[in-house]
Amino acid sequence: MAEFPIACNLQGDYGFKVIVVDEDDTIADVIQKTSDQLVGVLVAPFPPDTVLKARIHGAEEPLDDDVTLKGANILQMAALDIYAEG
Amino acid sequence: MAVNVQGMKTWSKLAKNKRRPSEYEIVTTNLQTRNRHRDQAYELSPAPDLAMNEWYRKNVFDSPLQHEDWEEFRDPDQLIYRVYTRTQDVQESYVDGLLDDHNEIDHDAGLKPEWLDVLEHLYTPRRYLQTALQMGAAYLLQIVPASTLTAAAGFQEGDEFRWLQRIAYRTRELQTAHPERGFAIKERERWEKHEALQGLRELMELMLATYDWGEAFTALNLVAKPAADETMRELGSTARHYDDHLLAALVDNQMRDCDRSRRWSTALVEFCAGHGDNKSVIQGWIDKWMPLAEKAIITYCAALPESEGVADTAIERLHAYHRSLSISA
Amino acid sequence: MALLKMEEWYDLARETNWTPSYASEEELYPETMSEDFGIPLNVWETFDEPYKVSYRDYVRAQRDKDVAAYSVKAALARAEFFKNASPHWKALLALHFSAVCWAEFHSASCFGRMTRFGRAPGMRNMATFGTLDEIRHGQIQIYFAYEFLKHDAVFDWCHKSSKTENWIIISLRHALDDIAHTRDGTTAGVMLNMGLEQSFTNLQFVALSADAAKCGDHSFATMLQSIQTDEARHAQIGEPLVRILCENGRKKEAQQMVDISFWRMWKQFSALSGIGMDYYTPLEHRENSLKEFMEEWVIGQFGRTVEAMGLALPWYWDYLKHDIATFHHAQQIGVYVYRATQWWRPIASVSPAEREWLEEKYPGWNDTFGKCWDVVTENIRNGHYDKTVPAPPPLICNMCHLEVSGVAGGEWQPVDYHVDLDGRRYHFCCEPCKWIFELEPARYKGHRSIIDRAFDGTIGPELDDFLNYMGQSEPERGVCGYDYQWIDGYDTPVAAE
Repeated sequence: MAEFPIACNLQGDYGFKVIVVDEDDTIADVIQKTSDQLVGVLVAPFPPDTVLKARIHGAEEPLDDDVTLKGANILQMAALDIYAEG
Repeated sequence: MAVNVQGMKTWSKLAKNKRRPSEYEIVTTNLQTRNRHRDQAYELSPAPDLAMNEWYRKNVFDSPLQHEDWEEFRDPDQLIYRVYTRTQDVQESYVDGLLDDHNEIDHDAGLKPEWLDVLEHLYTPRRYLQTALQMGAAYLLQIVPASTLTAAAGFQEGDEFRWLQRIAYRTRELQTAHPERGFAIKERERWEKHEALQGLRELMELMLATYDWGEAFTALNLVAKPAADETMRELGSTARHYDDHLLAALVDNQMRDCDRSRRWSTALVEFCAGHGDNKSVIQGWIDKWMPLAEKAIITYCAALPESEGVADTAIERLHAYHRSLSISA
Repeated sequence: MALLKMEEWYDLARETNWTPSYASEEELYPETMSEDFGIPLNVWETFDEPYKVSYRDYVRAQRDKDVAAYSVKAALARAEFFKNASPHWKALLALHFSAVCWAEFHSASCFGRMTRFGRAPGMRNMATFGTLDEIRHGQIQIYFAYEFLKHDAVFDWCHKSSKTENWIIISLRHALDDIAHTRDGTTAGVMLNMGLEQSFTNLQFVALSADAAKCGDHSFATMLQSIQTDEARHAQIGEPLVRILCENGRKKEAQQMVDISFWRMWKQFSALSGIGMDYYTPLEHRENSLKEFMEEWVIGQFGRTVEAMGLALPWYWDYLKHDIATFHHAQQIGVYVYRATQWWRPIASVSPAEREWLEEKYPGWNDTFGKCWDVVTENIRNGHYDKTVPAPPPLICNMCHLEVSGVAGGEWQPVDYHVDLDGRRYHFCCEPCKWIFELEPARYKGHRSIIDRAFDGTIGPELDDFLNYMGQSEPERGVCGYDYQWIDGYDTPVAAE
């Protein structure tokens, strides 16, 4: 267990939020943690068939949902965009 | 509809005081941010990465002069800006009146050549001395560890600037009355070269190059400034013998501002003398700076006409001032 | 009257440089404090201040200014006004006074730096007035704030805010310490006067005084105007300094000073004045929007001043035009939703009528920032107040120490810049903030933002720890200034379910 903070910007939110994650969390876990904390708080619920993806801020391609943060080499205070696919 | 709101009688920081706070305390205390963290006077990289934080660590936090809370210092005059401007406006009106009256009666035309020599060499070059005092006070206000001290030093700086301008004013008048002399032309040369002024100049330059806040305060407010002021007092006193009643009156008025500096300086010494080694620290600095100050007084006063005993009187006044401070045995 | 005219003797009081011989130049002008940029002394001596005033005239004029401000009649009018003031106006007053009182007083020391370590005699003298002015500005504003204290304990922060680690105070200290307090005397003069006073104080003081007058707070308006006339006088130090630098091969340095300080202060004023003008000023009293004021006074007027001095417009000028329509809107959301981290009572100020005004002044506002407010409003309507507070904290810019924000809602645009240095990641809200960091990393790299401290063990893990660290005891934690009774308009309480 190694917890650390990263910064996530969920689609629709006005800025980045600092989310506490674990190096063994998958990208899907991070997306879930972020949307759990911000959907219905600063961002309206997404349409039911929305698929949320994460990418390193500034990157073109999404990260693989099943990869762990450790595996993706996502370190302390990295910034991720979480956006609706399509 | 609005949220229930409570008031407070006074600032929380002053609530423990028994007496109701004065306007001075209300508007002058507790405003200093640079005295909170030893390594990080300023909200940037700490010392030693940021040179300025290193400067304040060395010259303020690690000064030999120590106190657990400098923000508890109070100016005995409780001087605030709006009272300062009101007071000085009254004094400047008085000085305007003096200048006006004396100009009306052609005062400068009637001054004796012997006295004009004194004015050229020992009076008008003092605008450089005033500049040094102005700069010294400016250093104090930016380095002192309490907002009450910044205010006191700030008003002192204003006073020095006041007299810088008054000397400039008189220099122009004297030049107009005596264009054949060196007024308004030779002051810098005299400040740099005239024997009688070199003691004062040396004292001022070394004071200006002193950066530990405690020593800078001692060197300026307890030694160099009072020494310079005593030479001014003697000049004013001598002026009476040469019918220069204008200069005598101007000097008397200047001494009011000098006394203000001494009052808050005395209070600062009293405030911290009982803590740690401060008493011996301050005395040590006074002992270090006095030889230069005495030399400055002696060389200046020696150039005054009928100067016998004058330097001794001035030096004795300086000693008396030191005896009045809380550091004396 | 046989007194001399000022012009007859004024120059003599500026002939005050001499050649030292008992202490060296280096000893008298140490590097940390002083920089002559290789420009000879006789050139510094050409510094010519446009507005000349004698000490004699200064004390007379300043005494007169204070008579009106401190009159008993004015004090009574203020007390009456405050009692009836809306939560809007109270929030504005609390925010303004808590920030400016110590900041103004603190500036006295910057002018002290100029007097002691500047090379130009004219500048020394003008900076002496600057020191006195800033003591005035600190004291008069604290005096006004004190009168409100008996009605509202929030004003205690006017006296004590500078001593705290509150995130907004950290932001303001970082900016002011950077431009005004940790530079050599000449650079500090250019940065304070050009980057803050000439460029922005109009924004806070002139605009605010117009709004105050409309609100009926006349003595506040008069006091602010009198401060602004002081500013105009001592801010004039900047231009002659820039001219001397430009004319002596130091144009690049002067440009950089203006570029750095302007941006640092823009960020501060976008939060202080942006929230003040577009949200806290009651709708019926608003004159210009922040964007309109910036376009006319800053992008327009100040931009022309910069060019007239021989400098170029800062490289980020186009980005500024975008920032004035976005940044403060994002900050306002954060200030409200994280209201416990504020010492005053923040207001949302997005009732239907206010949203209409925002849409008019910032076309697209409802579809962007308005979308976040839609969610907040809905939660309030349903009585889910706890859902109006996000659990995770915001990312903070390591330069301006405000939130790293972009565009929200339908035109969502995540914005973040970073630098990795010595194993640490630094975040920035924009390119200019990052650029400033990269110019002089040693100056900034050792500092930790409030968020860095939240996660490096400096602050305990609970919200309570965070708020206590920031100096906020229980009653000092912000709540909605209208107790949520604003979503359908201020005269329309929220209907019970």
